[in-house]
Amino acid sequence: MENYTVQVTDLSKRYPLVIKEPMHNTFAGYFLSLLYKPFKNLRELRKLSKAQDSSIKIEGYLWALKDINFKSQSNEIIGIIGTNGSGKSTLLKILSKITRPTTGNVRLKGKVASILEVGTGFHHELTGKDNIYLNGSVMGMKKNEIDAKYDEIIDFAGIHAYIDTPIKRYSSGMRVRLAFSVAAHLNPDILIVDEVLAVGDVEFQKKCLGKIGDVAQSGRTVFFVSHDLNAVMSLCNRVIWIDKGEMRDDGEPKKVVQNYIDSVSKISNSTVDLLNIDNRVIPNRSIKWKGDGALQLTKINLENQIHSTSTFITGDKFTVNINYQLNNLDLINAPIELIVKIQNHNMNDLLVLSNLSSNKTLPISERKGLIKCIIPKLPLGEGVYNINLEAKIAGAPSDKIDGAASFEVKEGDFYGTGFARSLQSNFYTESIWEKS
Amino acid sequence: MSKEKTNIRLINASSSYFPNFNELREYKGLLYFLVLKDIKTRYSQSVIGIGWAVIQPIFFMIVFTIIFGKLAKIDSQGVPYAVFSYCALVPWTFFSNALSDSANSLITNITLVTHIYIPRILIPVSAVTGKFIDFLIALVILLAMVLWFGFNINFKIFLSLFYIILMFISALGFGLILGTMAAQYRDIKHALAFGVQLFMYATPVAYSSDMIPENYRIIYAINPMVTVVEGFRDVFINAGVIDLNMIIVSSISGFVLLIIGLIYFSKIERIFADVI
Repeated sequence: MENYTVQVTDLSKRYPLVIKEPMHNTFAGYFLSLLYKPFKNLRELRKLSKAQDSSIKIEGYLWALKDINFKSQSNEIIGIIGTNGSGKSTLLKILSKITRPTTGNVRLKGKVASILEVGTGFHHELTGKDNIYLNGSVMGMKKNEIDAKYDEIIDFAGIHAYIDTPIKRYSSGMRVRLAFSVAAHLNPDILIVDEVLAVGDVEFQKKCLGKIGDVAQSGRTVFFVSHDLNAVMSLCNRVIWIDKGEMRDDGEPKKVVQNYIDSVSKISNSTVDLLNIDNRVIPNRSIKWKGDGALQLTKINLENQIHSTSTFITGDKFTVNINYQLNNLDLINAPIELIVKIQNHNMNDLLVLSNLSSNKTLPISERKGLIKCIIPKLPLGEGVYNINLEAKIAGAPSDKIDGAASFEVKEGDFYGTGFARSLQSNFYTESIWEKS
Repeated sequence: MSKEKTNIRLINASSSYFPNFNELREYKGLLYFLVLKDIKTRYSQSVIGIGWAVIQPIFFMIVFTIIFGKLAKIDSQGVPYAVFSYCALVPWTFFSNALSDSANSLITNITLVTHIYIPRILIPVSAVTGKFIDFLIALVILLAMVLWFGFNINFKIFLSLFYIILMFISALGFGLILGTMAAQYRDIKHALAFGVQLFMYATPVAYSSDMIPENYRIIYAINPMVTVVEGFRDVFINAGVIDLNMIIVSSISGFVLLIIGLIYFSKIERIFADVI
């Protein structure tokens, strides 16, 4: 027998679109439409069920998923990423049997449990204890399995004192902890988790992610949908990217996430040809700036640890490649100074980097060349940033370009803890904590 | 770690035409907890609590006794009208409540349909079963009344089991049909609110089947609750108007309702999450 846990073959799912009715501009037309309304309503409602029969042709529908194919193995944690409405949730709903595909099929080997929403089946009038049993059995646990894990579940959720209180008296945090705790103690071969980690406090989220990791370690398969790309990258060992119902990419997390980020990025240029740029502060006309143009910057290119890009994640390696051209050949071998300024959208200089400040002299020996400025760990938080460039040669200002390039930063795991939480910090740096 | 886990589940577009009983066996614990939830939540934060299970038929009994018994002077087959009507109200209250609860159960438990997979048939089944507990309590009161009024309880009491089963499968079958339709067409919900009231007049709750001309009773008995109600009267207060033909017709129609309900529900189940 072939070795797989989930096999998805030519999976497609369509949903009908609601077609907008034409407006009536006469009173009689409006009145007639009221009479026809029940028939229209019936047709619309029938379309919902007809859409699922692939042999019936219907007008106006949308393929939520189209020809999806993949196979998963045990020990895999598969992240599923994509923009809103790309079909991620539809895929999870099919995998967890909630809804059926229109065409194609899925083969699942073993017991499946899905957490598409924490606390499905919870009833607010019931006590914590009753809800543990109800929620557990809704997720497919047997009563004796719940009995065996009962204490662990309460421990994990940390709600000992309130176990006989109706959960409507719980805080929302307690409810989420209880719900996730039940889910975390399921014992499926295939676990399907939707965007559920957006809830609960950070400490608990970390516990949950750890638990998901444990599940996969013990020979199971986990499907994990999240908009939190850092969680996806730190947790998953394979990522599937779905775009408008189709599979765009499948493979190594860093690579797929990077491709995804590049495609959704607002800024598409990672390389800017500076010779044809409007933003150049022309040396002669500028009042403040007296550049002589002896050294001209010709191209800028941004790069992370993998490739050229204009979208970075906090903590990424950030490289600015600057091409130059020497116009005044008398100045060959003269020391130059390059200044890279990173501005936020308010035009405040957040970082001013200079090779001289870094104690690096860069004598120029050729007419054309490339200089790299590398930030090993990008310390910037979420946002869009501009780069301004300045060049000096032999101490004299020579070229200056405002807005030479822009780039976008997504918040990420700067501290490398394997768990990125949203600190919404504008700036990141290492810190040392001690207790005396 | 897992030996028997080599079973492969196939998910595709095809429908099944009957509930998957193997799967239901796996989920039998869930039915228990769903019924428990139904019972525990229905009367939570209420002073009278489970007492509401008998208040509804008793109040109807009082009103019926005044209006139909005293004012309209409807013939109650020689027994006190109060016990005559209560005897019918016990199964009828179950039927009407179970019917509206199960028909609305998929809509009220929408998250169980759209956010998780469980065999959906457990949702209406648990609604009907939950009402059955209320029925049992009302039945105890009926037995007490029967003894109080000095009726003899004889071997016929065993026949009541048959009527109770017929009552249960009719309510479930009809509930499954309406529940399946209600998932897609909310009209059912609105129609049900007064439909059940109308249906009561097609059932001998306030009157006796004796008032129906004899040659029409076979047709009348297509409503399985006719036989259930008259059967109850026959068993408990010896005032039932019932014959074998009525029992056969009602049994067939109750059984057919259940089969149609199960098939229709199973056929549509695969698209519940899309249409609800």
